Amino acid sequence: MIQLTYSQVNRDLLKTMEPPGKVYYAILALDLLVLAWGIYAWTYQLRTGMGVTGLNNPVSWGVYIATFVFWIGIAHSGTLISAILFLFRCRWRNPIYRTAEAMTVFAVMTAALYPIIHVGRPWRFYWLLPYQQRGHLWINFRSPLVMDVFAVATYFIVSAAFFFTGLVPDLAVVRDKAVGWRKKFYAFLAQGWEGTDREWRHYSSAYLLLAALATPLVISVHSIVSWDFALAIVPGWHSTIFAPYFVAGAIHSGLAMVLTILIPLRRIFRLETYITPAHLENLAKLIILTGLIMGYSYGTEFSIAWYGGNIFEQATFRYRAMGDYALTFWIMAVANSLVPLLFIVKKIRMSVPWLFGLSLVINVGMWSERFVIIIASLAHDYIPFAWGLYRPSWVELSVVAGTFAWFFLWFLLFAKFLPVVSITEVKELVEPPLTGRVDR
Amino acid sequence: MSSDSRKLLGIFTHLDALLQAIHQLRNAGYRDAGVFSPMPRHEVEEALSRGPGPVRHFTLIGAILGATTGVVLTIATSLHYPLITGGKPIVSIPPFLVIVFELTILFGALATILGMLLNIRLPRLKLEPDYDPRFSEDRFGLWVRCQEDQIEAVQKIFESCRADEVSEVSLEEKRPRLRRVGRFILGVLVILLGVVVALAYLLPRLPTTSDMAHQPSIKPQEHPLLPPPNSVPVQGKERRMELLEASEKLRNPVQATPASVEHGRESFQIYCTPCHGPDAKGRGPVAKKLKTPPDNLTEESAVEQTDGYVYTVIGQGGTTMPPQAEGLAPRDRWDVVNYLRSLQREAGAR
Repeated sequence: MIQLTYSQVNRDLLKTMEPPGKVYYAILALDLLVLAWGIYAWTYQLRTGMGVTGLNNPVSWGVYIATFVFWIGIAHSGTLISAILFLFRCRWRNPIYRTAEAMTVFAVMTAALYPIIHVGRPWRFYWLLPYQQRGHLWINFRSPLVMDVFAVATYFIVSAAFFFTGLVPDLAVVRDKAVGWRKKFYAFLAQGWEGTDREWRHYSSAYLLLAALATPLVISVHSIVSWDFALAIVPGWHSTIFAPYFVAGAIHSGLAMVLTILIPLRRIFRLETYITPAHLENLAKLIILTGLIMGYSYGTEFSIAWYGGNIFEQATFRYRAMGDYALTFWIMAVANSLVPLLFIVKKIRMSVPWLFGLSLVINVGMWSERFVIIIASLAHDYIPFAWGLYRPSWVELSVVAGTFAWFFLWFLLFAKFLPVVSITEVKELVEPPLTGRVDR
Repeated sequence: MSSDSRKLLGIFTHLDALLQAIHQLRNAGYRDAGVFSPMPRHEVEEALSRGPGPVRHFTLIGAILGATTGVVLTIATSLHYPLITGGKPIVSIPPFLVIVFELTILFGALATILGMLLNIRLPRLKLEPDYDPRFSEDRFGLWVRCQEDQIEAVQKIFESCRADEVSEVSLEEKRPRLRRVGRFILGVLVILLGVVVALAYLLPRLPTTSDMAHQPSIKPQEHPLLPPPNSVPVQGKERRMELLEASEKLRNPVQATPASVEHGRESFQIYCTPCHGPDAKGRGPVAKKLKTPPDNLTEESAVEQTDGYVYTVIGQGGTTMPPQAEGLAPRDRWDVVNYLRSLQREAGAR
């Protein structure tokens, strides 16, 4: 229970939406600059052709697809915090879920850019949608790439709807405090919310149902992404553990990203009363769990290769650990399965600088994991004749940087236009004012 | 609701006082009451004894609808154009279940949102007259409808329960839910939706290039100007011609050499035989599926057409025939024309 009054909560949490200072604009300008550079690199790729990327035979899926998987993974922990912890009645999630959920929506928006950039002819992306094409042809529903379109589109729509539903009562709070054009703007967004018992009753049941729908959805999305790989016969991809392994990895990276975002956020907006070290500690504890699952999965992959006796599988895993991409592999192994174990030490998981630093390390580790799985497997499959090396070109790296800027652009706008901490859900944690003199 | 009914609103700071007021009012028989609160409280819901709402039925129906859509969409479209990929059966249940699952969730979630909006009468552009901005901050409101002669009794209950303020709310006649602004916005949205639907239908029909080397020429049927040194020359983009103009003006620039006819035969087998058949008599395997049968290209009417006409039909398509310009470069199309002429001669000779 938070020892505050309702109007104190209003005051503190609406403060985050006050007009920003110079530092904010400086960060925004820097972000837009990187974004513009990324857009320039992308237009260069469009005008010149896919030859400007490092993609070629045999590695035809490069950092674009690796980063796609990375961002989809980031999205997952937002849903974990907002939906799954909600279903488990973990009340500590209330102050942090808004930020995590915004991260989900923006991460999916970022991830969705990658397949479109990767196909090279983005004006043809609608070929993936279910409609009758010329000559009565329909999309191939047996292809995991088509399943991906359905999964990611559903995930975006449902998580955006879930996000907005949670926002509406808060938008009403903002509406009632705002003046001028902002009042009109938020009055429109709040859609006439009044907080009547009828509204709360249907709202609560809808929110619960959406959480219950989002929970299996989030597990399905990364499973389907993993099948993009697991359904191919490339050694290192063709494995039945991919779905749970990817889902755990997704949550692992997402939790690290939540820490990376929350720690500066609570510092900048002075939200220490609301987002306490206990919240950060709980996230760190979850990271220990997902880190252990990651370590177990890596071990399983190697033991399957050893015990299965398949020489191609064995060669692939030997190549991963000792071949051209060994450095990325060891970054992945250490950062994802060993570094999280540091959180077992209470001092480390209670220390904000440590949490922030280690969360960045885990983010790098998880990106490396996607890189290793995708690129090292493609570069070195069955026939030595077809082996090859891949290095991302400056165009690919610029586009990736640009999409990171795209993600943070949305986040910067979110931080100033919407309440970053759910006002109504924090009020649910506050002890309601009682006269103490009434007997019912 | 009788015409002389009134509405009273009490504002409370304390939750327990509010709950006590609800109980007393209900015990006194006032059942038409409601609460404003800054956050959901189970105590309030219990005091008003509301059961589980109807939103869950929307979710269930939406989910069932989504699952059905998934089953029908995947199976029907696969059967509509049976094309075996990866050696899998035409109706492959396991991968289709993935689509079914996703659509179940999607439709279920959308129906939940719809159910919620319908049940709480949102979106709404104007707030109720008894709404107070403090209700989104730290106050609770309790309104109750009563008859004119009951006002004093209700006020007494409110006061005994330490309401901060009690006021009478004017009961407006039931307003039309969509005011003029609302109707205007709705109209604009409907028109936008219509435009989007129309465009969505047109989009797949827009001509697109599949070859990035395509670039505009200065004049029709010409190479682009000044190819850079050491580059591979490519054909320029063609001007689109009407059939009549094309059949008069275009001359076949490609000699019907054996090489050209042979190359034409290869292209013909890839692009034309599915409908027109290997002998060009319009009896290809796809022809059975078409409502308008493909033309028999060995007939007199086809033989009489000029090369330019045939060339243009191949590139731009016919009444039902899809355009082939995307897969066949101009040179390839002329080769197909040459091959078709040789086919026609063969058929005529027999």
